[in-house]
Amino acid sequence: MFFCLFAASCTATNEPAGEPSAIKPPPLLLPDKQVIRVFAPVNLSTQAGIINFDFDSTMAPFSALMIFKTNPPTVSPGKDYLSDISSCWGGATNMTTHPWNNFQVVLDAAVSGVYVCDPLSPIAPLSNTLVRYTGSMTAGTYYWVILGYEADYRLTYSSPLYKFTR
Amino acid sequence: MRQRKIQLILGVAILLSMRFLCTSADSANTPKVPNALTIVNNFTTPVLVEIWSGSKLAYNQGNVTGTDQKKIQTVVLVSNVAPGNTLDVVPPDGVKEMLVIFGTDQGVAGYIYLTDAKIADYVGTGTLTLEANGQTTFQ
Repeated sequence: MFFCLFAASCTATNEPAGEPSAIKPPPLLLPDKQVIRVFAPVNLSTQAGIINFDFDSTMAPFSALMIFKTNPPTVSPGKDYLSDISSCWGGATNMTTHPWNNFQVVLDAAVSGVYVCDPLSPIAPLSNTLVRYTGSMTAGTYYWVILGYEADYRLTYSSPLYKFTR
Repeated sequence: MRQRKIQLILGVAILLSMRFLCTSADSANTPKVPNALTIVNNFTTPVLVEIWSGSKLAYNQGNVTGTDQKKIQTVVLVSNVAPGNTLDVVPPDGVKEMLVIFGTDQGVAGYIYLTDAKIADYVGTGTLTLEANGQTTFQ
């Protein structure tokens, strides 16, 4: 109340203040990047049927969903990019012609937004045409991450790496 | 003189015990129904649970935002194996909105966020379940 004598201070104090939780956010896969928040599938969960990958990548001009099977991607010490994506199972990105709304990619049984990885193309590692469906997602451990890029394709944003079991 | 003192002490003792009986009887006639929130962990692992009250609550990168946010349950570990997979909480009177934050214990890395659930129209009782797929349901 005291500070409301001054308009500028009043605006600042009316903003909702955060109180620290004892439960901390998960670390980013690429720790020096800015945060892309991801929501589902929840880390360590068990997934059956259709999977909705929910996130918020609105801050990044370009983004990519990458899904890995069995082994998580490798980040070399001191590097700020993924150095090994050999376990890539699928993904999607608006750097190609894949549909991308910044909030959700659906892995479905018939109309899916997830595309096959192209191990021969480290620059554009996701196919433009070959689609992944739930039927090809066999039982096992999977990891997923959202990466964000500037308009000049600099990798600037990263989400945590989440794991789920099929 | 000594006899009068003893009589006085006895009198006070009788009055005190009558008051106690009276209070007990009143409570029995108007039992208070406590608030009750049950958390059920059907997730794949044991989870940590932290609960906040307030309004417009949200978890954002390690902070709880909102209005008049107050922690009403400090972090507690809930097993994912029955019968130990439930946690009974008694929220304070007047609480209408709660934010339940679920986490996992990563050892030296600390308590790491999994998901959260907001209970917006709490009326004094209910069960919040964390399912194996990470979704939450409140009934």
